[in-house]
Amino acid sequence: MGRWALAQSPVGVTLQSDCIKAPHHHAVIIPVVSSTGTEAKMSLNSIDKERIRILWSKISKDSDAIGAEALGRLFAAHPQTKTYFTHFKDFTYNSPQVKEHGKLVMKGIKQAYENIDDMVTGLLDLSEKHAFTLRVDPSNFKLLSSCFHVVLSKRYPNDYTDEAHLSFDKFLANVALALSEKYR
Amino acid sequence: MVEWTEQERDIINSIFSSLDYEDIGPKALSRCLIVYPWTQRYFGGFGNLYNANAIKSNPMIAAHGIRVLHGLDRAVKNMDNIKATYAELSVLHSEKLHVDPDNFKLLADCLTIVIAAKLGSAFTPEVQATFQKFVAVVVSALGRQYH
Repeated sequence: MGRWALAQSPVGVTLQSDCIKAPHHHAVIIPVVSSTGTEAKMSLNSIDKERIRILWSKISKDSDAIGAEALGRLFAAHPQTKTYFTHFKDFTYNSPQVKEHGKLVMKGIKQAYENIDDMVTGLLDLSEKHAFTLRVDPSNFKLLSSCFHVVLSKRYPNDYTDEAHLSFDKFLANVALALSEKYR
Repeated sequence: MVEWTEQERDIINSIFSSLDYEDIGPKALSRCLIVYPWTQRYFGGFGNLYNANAIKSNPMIAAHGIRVLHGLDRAVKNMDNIKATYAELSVLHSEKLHVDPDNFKLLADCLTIVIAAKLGSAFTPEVQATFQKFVAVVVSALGRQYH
């Protein structure tokens, strides 16, 4: 089932202009799950949250467009993901269906952001939906995450630094975990 | 082109000729539906999948498991041409059944585990490696025609 590893705080924490003063290193327990489709969980520390807050303040006004573009790229680069949308007529990012769904996805991301300290509770309704109705194979969350990184780095090349990418990737991984919480 | 050594061919042939498809097929499929419950999304019309016992005793699932094993048999008989052998099946799974190809990997894993249980110590690391190579090729061929 689960293996647990004791580790130092991930990635050497150095002072950056974009983050608050680094706290001391702290040991984190990282659950390492070996079954397919689930990821190692890396909890968000205060530096991550600050970076995500800063990033979010810049991107949230474009949230709908970001969602649509990420989905459009997902469908183009990973055609297997289209199997979950058999009712869609047009899979490009400016089709009405993709735009609408992009909005919905970003609404969920916003919900995760607003519940960043306890996503499992905060995303309970979405978690149940994904577990019992949608049943999206969890490996697809990683694919969508990678599309988000592409969209954000192309739209905000100066803001989407390596560090921002790191923290946002952790954030999305935590969202995915919260969403698949009820799967089994 | 996938290269197979004589030894690998022998191993694959030997595994499959020792299997009772009527036994292994249902076991592998029901294990997949139990261990990875989200895969049940493709079996809405298959009756009672409410719990592990229901799945294990479901005749439609059993029949489908057998069908899957017979499908695999085609790859065993055409090891040098698995991609072409499965082209039609790939289109079917993509266009008609709309199965996320990541599920093929999950089913392949369950099949590996069921076969390991059957073969016991005969399922050596080397045999496992060959079998996993085989299923990886099958999984890849089945996902090939998705667009």
